[in-house]
Amino acid sequence: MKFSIHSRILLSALVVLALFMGLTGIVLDEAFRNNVNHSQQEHLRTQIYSLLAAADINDGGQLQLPEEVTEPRLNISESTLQARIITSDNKLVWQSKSMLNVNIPFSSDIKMGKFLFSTKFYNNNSYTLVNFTTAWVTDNGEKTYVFQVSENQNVLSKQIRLFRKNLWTWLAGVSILLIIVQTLILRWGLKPLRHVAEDLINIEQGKTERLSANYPKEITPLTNNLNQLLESSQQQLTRYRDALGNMAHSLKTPIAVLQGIINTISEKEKDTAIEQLNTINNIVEYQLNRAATVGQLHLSEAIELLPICKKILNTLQKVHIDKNIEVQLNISEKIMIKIEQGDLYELLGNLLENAFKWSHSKISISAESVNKQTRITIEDDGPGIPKEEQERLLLRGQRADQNTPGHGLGLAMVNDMLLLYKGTMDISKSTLGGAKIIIKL
Amino acid sequence: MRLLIIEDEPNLREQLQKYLQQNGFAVDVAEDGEAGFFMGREYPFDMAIVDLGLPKLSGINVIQKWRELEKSFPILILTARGKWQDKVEGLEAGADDYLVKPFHHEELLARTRALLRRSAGVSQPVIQFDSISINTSHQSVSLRGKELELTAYEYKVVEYLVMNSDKVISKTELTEHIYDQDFDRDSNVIEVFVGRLRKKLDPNGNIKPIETLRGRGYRWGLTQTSTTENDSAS
Repeated sequence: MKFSIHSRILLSALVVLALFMGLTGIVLDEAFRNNVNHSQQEHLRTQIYSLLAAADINDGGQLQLPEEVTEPRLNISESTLQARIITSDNKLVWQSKSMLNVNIPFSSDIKMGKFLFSTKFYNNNSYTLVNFTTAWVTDNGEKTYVFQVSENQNVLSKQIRLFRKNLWTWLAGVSILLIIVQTLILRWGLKPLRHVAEDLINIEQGKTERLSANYPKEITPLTNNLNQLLESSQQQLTRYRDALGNMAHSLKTPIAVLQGIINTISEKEKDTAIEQLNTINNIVEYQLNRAATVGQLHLSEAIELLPICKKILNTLQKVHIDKNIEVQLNISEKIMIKIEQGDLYELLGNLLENAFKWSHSKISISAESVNKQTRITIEDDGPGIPKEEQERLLLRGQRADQNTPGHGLGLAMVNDMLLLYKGTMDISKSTLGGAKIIIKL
Repeated sequence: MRLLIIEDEPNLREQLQKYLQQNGFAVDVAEDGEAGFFMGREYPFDMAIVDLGLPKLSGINVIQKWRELEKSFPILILTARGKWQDKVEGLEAGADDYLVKPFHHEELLARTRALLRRSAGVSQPVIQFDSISINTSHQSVSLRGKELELTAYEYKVVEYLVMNSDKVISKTELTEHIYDQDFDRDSNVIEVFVGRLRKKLDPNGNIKPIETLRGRGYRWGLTQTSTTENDSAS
């Protein structure tokens, strides 16, 4: 099955959204971590500076720091911040109170005047470390000291975790919102197309004849073309039928004339006969050419069965008034058939004319809708149709009885017509005593 | 019985006129819808045969306009297309029967007679009055089972009186219905016909089939007794 436009757009929007949101998350996460790391390094640098500021050379020419430094975290044990000062030959000069019982694995990298950062894992904790090497001029000459500060990264990790949680929650929320908005936009955007589909269904059901006029400009060319197509197919059908009708009309009168004079033919009338025959010939040629250029395509509409049925019954009642036929009509007003109106007239006209012609006193006509199909049943109390005749009638294109037009010919015509509509005809014996014809279409 | 045929095809029109005249009808013809409508409106026809595809005014329109004027004579339509929609439209407009071209002339004659009988309230082709029986199919009159020798005009007079047996028929009306428009009329001829008919139908002068109402006209004086034979025309 092919994806609908709706699912196509929605699916691609979802993929783009997921990619975009994922990348945004990763970039923001990275940026935030960098920022946090950077600010920690700044913080450690500040600690080094404040230690440098607090350090002093004592009388013995030794570097010394007060018992308590300004950063309170350095003054308590089990703190997250530690500091110490060592000499270049790795002798401890000073260490903060927080350094007690802690053996931070400081790096031994030394580079004069530079802050050297590193990360070390110790005792289930990550630490950010910094080494700063400086030379101190004393009375005994220049001495090199290494200032080392470390900070537990737990605080940082916690911050990052919190940030991540917030970040992804927000991104997910925004994504959901965007999907909803996208769906709504799609529905709104595709509404005209749905409208076209609804209109087409209405046309098929015969509720309207053309697509309505209010469409956005992108699809008006489509709907206009469709309307034109509908109209022209309707016109073509009418023209086709008219052409054939005209042909029949112009042909039949000359034939009637010929029939009239055929018995009493004299030399003078023979000329008339020849003249009329030539006329027929020319007309056939002309009209058939015309008919051949007209297409047959059309979108047939559903029409109501009952009114047309009633009209034909009225006509036949009037013509057969002497027979005093009782008609049982059992057709619901709701029954609609997808068939061209003229064809329905022919179909019912032929069937009912037969019924009137052959019945003695009673005709029954009923219709019902079964599974989107309409079943029309016509019964009479006439002599019925013999078994072998029934089979012959159902062979397409066979005339049951060429000598009595209106009986076998009518049924054969109905049968041929049903072929065009993919319908079927069934002939059997009625409980009324005569023929029972069931057509399904 | 006087008929009007409206048919635009000259050959067919002539044939039908000739054929129906030969079969005992007074026949007037028109070649287009307007002329036909005018004739139907102005003259007292007993029936009209109307082609549907007519120039100037369509057959359907002609019928509608007649019916609007409350013209009640029966109408048979001729249709070449044979389309059911046309037939239904024709009968809805006020026609009483249809015939699809091409047709056999005998079929037209049978339908014409059936329509005329139906409009006279007679459903069977043989009408029986005591000892007199009239066969409208064969256009013959029998007295006590023996066929009488009547001229075409004598038969027309009997038929018209029988078909209008509930009415008093003036000599003018009789003339109008047994002759077509082009005929040179003389109402004295009617008196001669009626006189001869009385002698033939009632040689003993005791059943008095045709009554004379002084200054008003004639009336069929017998009541229908029974009908026989099936209607072969319908």
